[in-house]
Amino acid sequence: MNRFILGLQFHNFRHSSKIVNIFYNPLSVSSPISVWKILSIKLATNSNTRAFKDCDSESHKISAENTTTTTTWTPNATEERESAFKRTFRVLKEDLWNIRNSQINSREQRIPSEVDIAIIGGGIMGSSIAYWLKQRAPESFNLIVLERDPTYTCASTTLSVGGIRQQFSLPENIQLSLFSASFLRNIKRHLSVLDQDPPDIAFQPHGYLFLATEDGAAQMEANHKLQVELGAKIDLLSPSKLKEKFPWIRTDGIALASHGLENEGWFDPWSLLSAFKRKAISLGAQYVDGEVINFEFDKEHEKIIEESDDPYYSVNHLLVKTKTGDIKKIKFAVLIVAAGPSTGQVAKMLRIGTGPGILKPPLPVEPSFLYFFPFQSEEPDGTDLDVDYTFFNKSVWPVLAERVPAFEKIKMLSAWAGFYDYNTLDQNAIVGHHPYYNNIFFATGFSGHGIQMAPGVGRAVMELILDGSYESIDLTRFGVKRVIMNEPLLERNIV
Amino acid sequence: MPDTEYLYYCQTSHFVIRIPRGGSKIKKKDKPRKRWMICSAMYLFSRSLKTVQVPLCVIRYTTLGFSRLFNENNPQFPRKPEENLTSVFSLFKPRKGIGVDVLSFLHQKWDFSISGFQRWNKRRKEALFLQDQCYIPERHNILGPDLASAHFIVHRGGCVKFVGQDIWLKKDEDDNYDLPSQYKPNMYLEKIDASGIPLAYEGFDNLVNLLHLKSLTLHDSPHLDDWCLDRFHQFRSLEHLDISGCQQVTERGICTLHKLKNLKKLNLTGVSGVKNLELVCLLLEDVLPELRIEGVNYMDTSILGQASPEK
Repeated sequence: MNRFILGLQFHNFRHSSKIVNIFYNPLSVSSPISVWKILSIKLATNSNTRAFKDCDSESHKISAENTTTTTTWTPNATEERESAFKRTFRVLKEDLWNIRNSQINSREQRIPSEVDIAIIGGGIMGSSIAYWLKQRAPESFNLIVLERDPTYTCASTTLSVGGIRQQFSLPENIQLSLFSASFLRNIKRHLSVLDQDPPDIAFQPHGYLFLATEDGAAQMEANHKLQVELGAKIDLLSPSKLKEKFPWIRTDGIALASHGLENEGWFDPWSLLSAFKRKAISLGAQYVDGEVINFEFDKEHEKIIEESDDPYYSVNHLLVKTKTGDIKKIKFAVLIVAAGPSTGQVAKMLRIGTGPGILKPPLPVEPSFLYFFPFQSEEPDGTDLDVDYTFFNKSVWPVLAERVPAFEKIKMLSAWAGFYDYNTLDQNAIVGHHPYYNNIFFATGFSGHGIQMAPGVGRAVMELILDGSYESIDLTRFGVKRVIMNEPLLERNIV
Repeated sequence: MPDTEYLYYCQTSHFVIRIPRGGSKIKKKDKPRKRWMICSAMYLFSRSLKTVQVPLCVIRYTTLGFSRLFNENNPQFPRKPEENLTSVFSLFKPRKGIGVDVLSFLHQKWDFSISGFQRWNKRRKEALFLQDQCYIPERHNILGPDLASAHFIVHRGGCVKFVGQDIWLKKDEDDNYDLPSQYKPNMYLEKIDASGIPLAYEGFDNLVNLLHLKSLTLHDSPHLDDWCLDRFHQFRSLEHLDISGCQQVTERGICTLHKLKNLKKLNLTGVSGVKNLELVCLLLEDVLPELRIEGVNYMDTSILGQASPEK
């Protein structure tokens, strides 16, 4: 006898929720895996069926040239319905193929062919979001994090200074930073994994000092008022007080100074990243070593875009290239793009910037090259991570020596270079779902502030996905809408 | 903000209780009842699925979908007053449907082992402890900062001393202590001895605005770490600080003490977590010329015999 199970179809995350009858006969089941496949296929198909391309488990070698956005965003041409018998046999064949593969390559990672939530980017943002999602509902959904470089050699996170400060001019930034400070303070409680040492981020609470000339003094006072209102402990210093506190600074030309007293300093970003990653994995997230090369789009006939003839294409499949060169297709319900400096490329794969209508404005996140000396600085271009040591002598040292006379005799100890995920529009975060795709969320564009806002942004994105709206800190102003409408939200008077 | 139409307006963390002024009709609609039926059916369904070993994705798909179904498209708070109360259950209707936490609770595996119970108990005790330490505004409003801090410290087992008095006040074996329960002017805290009592970061929220505090003793304080030391700038008049025996303090926290401009005596005996203690103390004494540090032996030549640090 067949048993009926009422369930909800869950093909496209937000809107399409139809009640579908699913048949399954537990007595005739040969293996649990095939049941899963049958059910998931039934769940996934709606009235608009499309034949599955059979590249789930077989290893394809698709050359890089074929996977450009112009050629492969086109939807699947054949929309014939697969017969049930054919589908069953195909599923069973894939299962046997999987078992055979797993016996041969038992050490290789098993990439699932379907997940509920996929996160592109395993840096601090991706790991933070994975942690927050998993700690809210550990057994309720499947989560993978796709990271192309598990050694994090070029990642912005590991090459960053790891500073945290509350001296911003936008209230959202201040609140995020304050929450992150309280999270880091309680990190042993949040991110300890059983049987392992609690994480230690080596926080140095030294405070940031901002100096303002006459022109910027009024803005600094306004910023300070907002910061204190929101709970940050910042001290405003006149030039005489500044001289008293730090006698080694030359105060000519300084009208006002702002010194952070508490919750400001720097910490070790690598230990924070590994703490997040370890905790997320212990809660059930899976980190996959692979690079996303493309997406597959499904045409949805039911959805019509207003005032436009273009059909609506939703995206629920991504193609990931593993380190052995195999290309695997993964089906997801929700996608989170936290790829740092490469987010621009991922957005291009999603037709953002090349598509019609609302997809026309591109996502303005680019990698911006940075030098870090023992005294941090900024730099124009560069593409690789070699340091130009003469830059320090040319541009950085004169400015430092002018402000602090004792620095005339300094010697550079070391230097390294890294990338920012630089938001060319307004250097502030882009967080939220894209208005065209209702199941794609972005958490990028932090332009150097990502590490200090990661816990706060992780929690905000988790609330947005699981609760439907921001509950604690409202980041609607950081949404993708301002990118589309070209309304920059600039920080005033702050780097 | 409470609406004038409503007599009582109460907000708990998840839902709003509104009790209208008398006279509104309570119409019976079967929608809430249907929801409760579906909820119970869902619960049974998810539990039964777990026993039948059906893969998790079905449960996830279905139950996550249900939470979206019940999620009302009204994230704004509070609910519009035009909505009529439909039945007595809708008074307790959560603002946002079932919610993720209920479903997550239904999905989770339960740990009935003894060590699991011990871990749960430990977490519960920690949460209670932190709740006990948090700042209560009424206490400061009624008593003023000095008396409120005194009550806070003495109640938890510490001693305090006021300006102009010679005796240390602490509670006796019956947990009684002699502190005024109303604001009295000219009572200023001069010394606090919180040795051995558990005082967390949140507890220091209560020790604000102590303008005459000269001495703070935190000997063997188990929860004192760098973050707590970071916030000692709130004791601007502090002259004597004793943090001996605190294991979680590191050199980074000790560096933050440069903000205490009036500090004259610092006791660092037995802080074993600090590396390069002598160097840090020298730097600190350089910044604060009147400071004398106890517990540090600058003449200790045994460190010269040790292997040099990794280079």
